[in-house]
Amino acid sequence: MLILTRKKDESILIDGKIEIRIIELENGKVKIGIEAPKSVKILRKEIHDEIEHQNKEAAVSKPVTPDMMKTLMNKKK
Amino acid sequence: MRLNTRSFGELDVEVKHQIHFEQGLLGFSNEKDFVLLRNYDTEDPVPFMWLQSINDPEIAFVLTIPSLVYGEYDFDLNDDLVKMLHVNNPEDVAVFNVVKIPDTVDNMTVNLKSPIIINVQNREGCQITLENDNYTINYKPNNNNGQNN
Repeated sequence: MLILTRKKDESILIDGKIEIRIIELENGKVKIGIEAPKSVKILRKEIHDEIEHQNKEAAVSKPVTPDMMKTLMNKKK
Repeated sequence: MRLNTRSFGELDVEVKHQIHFEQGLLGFSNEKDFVLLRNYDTEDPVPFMWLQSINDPEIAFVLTIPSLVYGEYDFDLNDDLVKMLHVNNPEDVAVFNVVKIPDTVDNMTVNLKSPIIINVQNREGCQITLENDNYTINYKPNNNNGQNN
């Protein structure tokens, strides 16, 4: 992992097209601004982790028995 | 093709129901090939489907259709995804959400944040993540007070 030190209003440029700027530093929080092409997906890491976790739970959450599936599939909204 | 499944035993699966996910699913990047199964035995169309991994009988997901559980569900398909799934016609795009059933069907939650997009023409799929914060990963369709998180 590359570690860089930046001050407020300084930025880093990734691959010539993604700019990450330090906008504000306060009480242990950093506000950053990101400029990137639309095709670049930007996600808070914890959300990404949460989604992976949710998928894993959905895949292994209690084996769905044929009977349960039947209930599920016959259930009307 | 004969396919081993966790919940339905061995099934005969037609090629037309096989979906390829080039990037796998989130958290399952190695699972790239699935079959999408539906129950055709009921009179009314059923709102749930079953996405079963071809390689691993233990990996399967219940999917639903967003319009049935949420109502208006809008997002833009970005150009990269359109290219990746080789979408030629917007009508070929099908959208599904992963359902989690913790104990009973009544407590199920739906992941609105990361829909599964399938090009029904070439059967290529992808799970994406939406930036819209209104769409949560554990929406409760059976909770009628609208407070969901």
